[in-house]
Amino acid sequence: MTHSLHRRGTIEDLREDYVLMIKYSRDVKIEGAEDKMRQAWEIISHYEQDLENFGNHEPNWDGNELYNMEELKKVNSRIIHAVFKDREKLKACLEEIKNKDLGLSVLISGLYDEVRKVCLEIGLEPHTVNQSLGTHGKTELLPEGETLEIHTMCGHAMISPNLIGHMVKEIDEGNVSSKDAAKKLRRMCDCAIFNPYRAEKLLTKMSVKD
Amino acid sequence: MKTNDVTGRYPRGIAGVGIEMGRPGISTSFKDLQTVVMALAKWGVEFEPNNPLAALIVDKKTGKINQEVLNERVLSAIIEFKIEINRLKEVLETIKEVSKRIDTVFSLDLISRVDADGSIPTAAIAIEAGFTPRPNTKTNVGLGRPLFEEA
Repeated sequence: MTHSLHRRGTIEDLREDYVLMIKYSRDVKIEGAEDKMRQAWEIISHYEQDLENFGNHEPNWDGNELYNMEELKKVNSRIIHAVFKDREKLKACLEEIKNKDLGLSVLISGLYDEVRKVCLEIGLEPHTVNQSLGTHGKTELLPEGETLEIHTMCGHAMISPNLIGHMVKEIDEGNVSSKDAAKKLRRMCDCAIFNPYRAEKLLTKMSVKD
Repeated sequence: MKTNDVTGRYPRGIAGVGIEMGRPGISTSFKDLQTVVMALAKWGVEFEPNNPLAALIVDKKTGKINQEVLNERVLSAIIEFKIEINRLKEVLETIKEVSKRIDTVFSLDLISRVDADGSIPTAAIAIEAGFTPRPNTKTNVGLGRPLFEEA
């Protein structure tokens, strides 16, 4: 699954978009893996105010927020997702995870040059990468511009281009703010890798353009 | 690749390729999927056996898909395989060529170990094959333990 890899945007936009992922292998057993995942959530909770999104792919659909940090610290998680806009906060979090030496696999989706620098600054070296070579074939079928940028923030395509268009209309008509529209879009992404901070900026740009 | 630091599934000298058919958000027919799989099968690539698609490839040598599903559509399906880096360029050129013969889109992923100087050894090969690697990657930072040791 490569749901976070093909995010679109300019280099400047992507400087505010990092997805931290933590998981453990199904094939190589690690002692106390589930407890270690809970410890990882404990570390991430130190940065809760700096996160744009977070979750473990098992959302709560009862109408409130999809995820609750206190709950996540108690339940079993197969995967951890946390979205940062600030590379310094990401670096601080990653350094804490490194120092705890949990033995879990840790990944960051984002600009490779920045991610590598973050790693080097805290004594890590990138091990393996999955690099996007872009989208090919009948690309004329794709939505354009900012719509595609918002759409690709959920690689499972749960943020429909039509819903994005509807939100822009709602903003234009004064029914909702860009911030609240971005929050509504965030709810569609179960994995919690959508970045509402970037989405808010893009929605504002789209509504002004109209 | 998410746990490659402990599994060693992608050692040095080997590239992983993922062709995310139908993504982002367009969907794909199995007919288009077969077109791509058949083009790749000619290179003798080893399709990932644990991918859900593997059960639908009824002839691994030709890449033929189960005819019963050929007219069905899915939102996405990922063709995954590994290839020696010295054979990567030709395979990427094939992917480039087959992209002109399908009625959908795909997003393309290229996996490899990072060299000691931080460079990505497959990036230059992708450029030679006519692709433009994007600046964003998913990066495994090597914190998994026990760390897989290559022979």
